[in-house]
Amino acid sequence: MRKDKIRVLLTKIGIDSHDLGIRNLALSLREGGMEVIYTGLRMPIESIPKVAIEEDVDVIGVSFLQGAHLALSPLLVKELKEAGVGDIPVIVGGIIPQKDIPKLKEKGIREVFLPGARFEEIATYIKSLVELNR
Amino acid sequence: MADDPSMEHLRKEVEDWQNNDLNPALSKFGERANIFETKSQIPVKPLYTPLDTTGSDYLEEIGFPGRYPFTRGTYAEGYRTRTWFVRGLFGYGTAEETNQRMKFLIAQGATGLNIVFDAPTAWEGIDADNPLAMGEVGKNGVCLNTLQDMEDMFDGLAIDTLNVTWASCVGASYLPITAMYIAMAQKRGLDISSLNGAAINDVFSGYALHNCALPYTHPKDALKDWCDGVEHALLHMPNWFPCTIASYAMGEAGGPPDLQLAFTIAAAIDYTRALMARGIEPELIAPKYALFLSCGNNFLEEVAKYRALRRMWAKTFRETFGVRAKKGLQCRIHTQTSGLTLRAEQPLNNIVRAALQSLSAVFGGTNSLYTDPYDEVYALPTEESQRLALRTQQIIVEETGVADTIDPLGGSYYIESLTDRLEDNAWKIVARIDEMGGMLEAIQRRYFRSSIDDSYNRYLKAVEKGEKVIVGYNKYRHGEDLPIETFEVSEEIEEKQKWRLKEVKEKRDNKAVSRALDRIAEVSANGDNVMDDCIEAAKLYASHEEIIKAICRHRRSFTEEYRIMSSRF
Repeated sequence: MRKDKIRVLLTKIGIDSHDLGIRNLALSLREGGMEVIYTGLRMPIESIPKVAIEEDVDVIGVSFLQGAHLALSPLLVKELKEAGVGDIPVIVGGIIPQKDIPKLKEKGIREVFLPGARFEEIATYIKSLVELNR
Repeated sequence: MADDPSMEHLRKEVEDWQNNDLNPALSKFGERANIFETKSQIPVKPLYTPLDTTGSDYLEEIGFPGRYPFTRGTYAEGYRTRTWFVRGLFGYGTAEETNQRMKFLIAQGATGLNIVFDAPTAWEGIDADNPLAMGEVGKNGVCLNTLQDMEDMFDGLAIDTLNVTWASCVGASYLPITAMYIAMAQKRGLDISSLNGAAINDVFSGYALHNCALPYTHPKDALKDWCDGVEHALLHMPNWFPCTIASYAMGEAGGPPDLQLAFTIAAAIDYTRALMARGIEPELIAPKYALFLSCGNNFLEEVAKYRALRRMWAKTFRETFGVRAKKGLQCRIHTQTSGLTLRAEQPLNNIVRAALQSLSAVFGGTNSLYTDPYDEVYALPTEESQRLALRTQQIIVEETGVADTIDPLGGSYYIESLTDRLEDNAWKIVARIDEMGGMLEAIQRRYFRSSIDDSYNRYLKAVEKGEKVIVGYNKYRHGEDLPIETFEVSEEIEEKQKWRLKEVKEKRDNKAVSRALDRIAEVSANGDNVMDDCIEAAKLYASHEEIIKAICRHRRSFTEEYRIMSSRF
């Protein structure tokens, strides 16, 4: 079965409450025709697989502005795998040092967007990912 | 004024100039933008003349620095005697790392220190050993868990002559932090009345923006905790400014200047009322406020913002609360330049942005200033970028001459007109908040959040369409940026801090700690002021999280409600 719209789950995990970027990304993706589910702040990592399954999402986006990306991203990837949805690609964005990108990719993060990335660029990437996967 | 014959003559001359000089030129060359307006959406005319300021009486609305309504400055002397506090802002890692960097900043000429706590300490009220703190310990501020951390952080520093500010501690988290500072002072044999400082502990700003501030408390409880800290300081610490209203966060979330002004005034009204409910006179409260502003990049509107704020503040405390003493009508303003305007592309451009924002805060008459280092968009600042930020302010003071006369832009037709317009806009928003039933109601209806979303989204769209230009981002791009050297907090800090905390917990008298915590829980449940009991617990090396959990022991958790509220956009 093919879904009409690309479905994106955006989330903030841990205690970082900088959400200006992700909320505006959510708006932008939605205006661009995607279905966006945003969990809000402080989403418990262990609850994410359930939401991802129920909402049947194509991709998960997480934003980090406080430096917890290396500690928390692997936990999310692990939870998804354990729930049997390890194939849903996870992308990460925010204030992330360039040199952490390979470390994140090694831990199973599909792509990383740094400060200055355009919403358009992220949308295009998501579309290409989904076409590849569907 | 309107039928003043000389004004009538001027009006005719202005019309003549518009019709015969301006308009032909504009239509010949075409204007370079479709709309000229400020961040608060105030239309900007090509020219301002005395016609635009005739509504305001000089003595009543503008007056003199240090005199009601303080439009031209908080103090009569402006920067003639001493300049604003040139602030260093820092905090990272454990207390030991922060102690070293504080000593460095003092050696470089910083006259005040703003200490930033990490997110677990400031926003969550949890210790390094709480699993939720994972990945965040010491990252964006210093981790403070017990009195031991406080003692190590201020080791070798004379706290009775130092001016400190807790740059972030919201609601209940102010209480243990300040209790530890007081406990340290008392252990050193100091009278706590000698402590100089302030705290950015604005619970309204936390809730307004993130729908949370210490996520397990209801805003009403957070306000109670806020009142406890403030009341204690009012009674015992004459040089402590325990209530800083932070419209800074509003600005940094993308809120326009008129909304920042209205937020400040509406918050001041509700905070004052909350303290009055405890029997504290406004006359005593008013002089203790400090204001924390963000200075954005619409240069002249930012200058007008400071002028409008001082006037609105004075009017509010005189007219609403009947305050008579001058100190209670003067507002003390700390500024931080806008991190939101810093860009990752061509990062050295940020030096220029921060310098211009610093200059406009100085034109506005700020009392204290922190200039953002250019590399903050990537990471915590390096020593080099922090030194450069201090030098930026020192160049403004020493080389430009702008601090030599008071309110040098006062009397500019545009600045005066803009000050008036901003004030008008802001009063309208204050009235709207009042109609909703005050700050708590406005916050629960998401008034601030949705106002900011509208305004910031409009801005982002204009940037995407190229109607608004960000240099180096959507115009004037050049190839790849050279990587800049950035500062890094070692991942080992978390382990180090956990170990420090474990050691303290092993050494202290755990029975005495748990008795002290029970006592806090009881006092808190009775609705009484917990501060004295927090100081006692701090002296026993009770931890930050333990004290906060004790304060909240008999309260319902609101974590899930706030998460759901924050998911709406």
